[in-house]
Amino acid sequence: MSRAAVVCGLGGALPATAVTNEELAAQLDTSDQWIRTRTGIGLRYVVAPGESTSDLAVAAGERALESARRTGNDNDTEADVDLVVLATSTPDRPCPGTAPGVAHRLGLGTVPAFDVAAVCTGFVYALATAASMITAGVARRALVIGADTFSTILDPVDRTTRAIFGDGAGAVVLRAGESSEPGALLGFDLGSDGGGADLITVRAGGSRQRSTGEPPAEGDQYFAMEGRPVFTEAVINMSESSQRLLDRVGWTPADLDKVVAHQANVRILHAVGEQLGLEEKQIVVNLDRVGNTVAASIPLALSDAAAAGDLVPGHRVVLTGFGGGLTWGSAALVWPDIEPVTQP
Amino acid sequence: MTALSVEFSLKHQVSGLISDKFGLDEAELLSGATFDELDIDSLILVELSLILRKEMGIVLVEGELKSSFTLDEAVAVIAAKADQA
Repeated sequence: MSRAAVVCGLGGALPATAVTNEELAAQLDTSDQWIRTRTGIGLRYVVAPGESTSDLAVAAGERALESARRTGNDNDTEADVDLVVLATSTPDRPCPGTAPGVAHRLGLGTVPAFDVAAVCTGFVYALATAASMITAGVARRALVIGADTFSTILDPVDRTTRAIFGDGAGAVVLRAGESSEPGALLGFDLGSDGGGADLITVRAGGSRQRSTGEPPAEGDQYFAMEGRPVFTEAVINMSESSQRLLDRVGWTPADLDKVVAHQANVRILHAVGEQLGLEEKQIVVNLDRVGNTVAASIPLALSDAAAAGDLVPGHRVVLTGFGGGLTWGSAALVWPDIEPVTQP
Repeated sequence: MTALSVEFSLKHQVSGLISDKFGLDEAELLSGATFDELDIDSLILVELSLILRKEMGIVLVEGELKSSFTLDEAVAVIAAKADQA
C-alpha cells in the first residue's frame, strides 16, 4: 500500500439557458441533422449576461463538497479542504487567477488556490496536480474543478464552434488515502505538443498581440479551431495516452468497464473506441445533452454516468482528455461508492 | 504480384473497409463516383485515415484524401504511402 489521492466527492453544474440545434439553425447556416451527424450534439447550455466561469465553478464545487459529505465515512475525518485547483481557459479576468475567488466564495478560508490552463485536457492536468500534491504530503484534501464558459469567446457567426461548445463546470473532491482503496488515482499519463498550438487557439488578447500596441485583427479575439487535424490528433493522442497508461497500470482495454473521454465529438469518441478495440458499452457519452464543455467535460460526463447508474462502484475506469496546447492526458481509477450531486 | 494487382487488391480492401465501417454501399464506391458525389462527409475520410493507420500502418497527412477523389484516386494515394511504409 502506498499513499494516494482518492476520489470521494463529485458534482456538476450547468447554466440555466439551454440552446437547441433548432435555435442555432434559426441564426446560422446549419441544421439539426448537420449538427447531429457531424458531432452527435443535440443541446448545449450558455451563461446569462454577467454570469462567469467562477459562478459555475462555485456551484459545481459546492455540490462536490456536498457529495463528499454524503459519502464520508469514519475513516474520512479530515473534512477540511486545504487545496483548490481550477482548470479553465476562460477565467473571469486575465489577472488574477479565478481559483482564489472560488475558494473564498466557498468559504474555504486562505487555502492555496490556483488555475491550471490546459484547455480541454485541463481537468486531467488539474487532477494530476492535486493528486501529486496529496501524495507528496503538501495537501490532504483537495477540491479539483473544471469550469469553462466558451460561449463568451466563440465567434457568433462560426456555425461549427457554436454548435460544438457549451458552458459548464464539474468538480471532484480528493482526499489522502491508500492506493488499494476504491477511488484511488492509480496513475497518470500526460503530454503536450506545442508544435500544434495554432490548431486550437484564441490568437489575440495575450502578450503576443498586446505588445504590438495595435488592436486585434478582425476575428482574432475569438476562439478558432481547425476541425479535421484536431479530430485526427484527438483520436491518436487520447488512444495512445490511454494505452500507455493501461500498460503502466497493468490493465488491457478489455479489462475496462468505462472509458470517460473528453466529450469533444461523438465521432471522436467512437474513433478512440475503434483504435483501442473497445465495445460501445465501454464508452461514456453525454455530449448529446451538454456539448463540449471543455475543462468541465470529464467531470460532467462522470456525474451523468454515475447518476444514471452506468458507472457503478468497482468499475475500472480510464479518463482521457485532449485539447489545445496541444495537450493530452489520462488517469486510471476503480470507481468508488460515491453519490454525485448535480442539483442545488 | 504486379503493381497493378497489388493496387487492385488494395482497392477492394479499402472499399470493403469503408462499406464495413461506415455502412456505405460497396457497389456505389466501386462505380467511379467521387466521395462528394456519394455524399460522404469529410470526417469519414479523416476516420478512414485513422483506420488505415491502425490496421495497415499507413500514415496519411491531413488533407491527402480529398472528397473530390474517386475510390481509384484515393487508392492510388494510399498505395503510394503503402510503398513507403
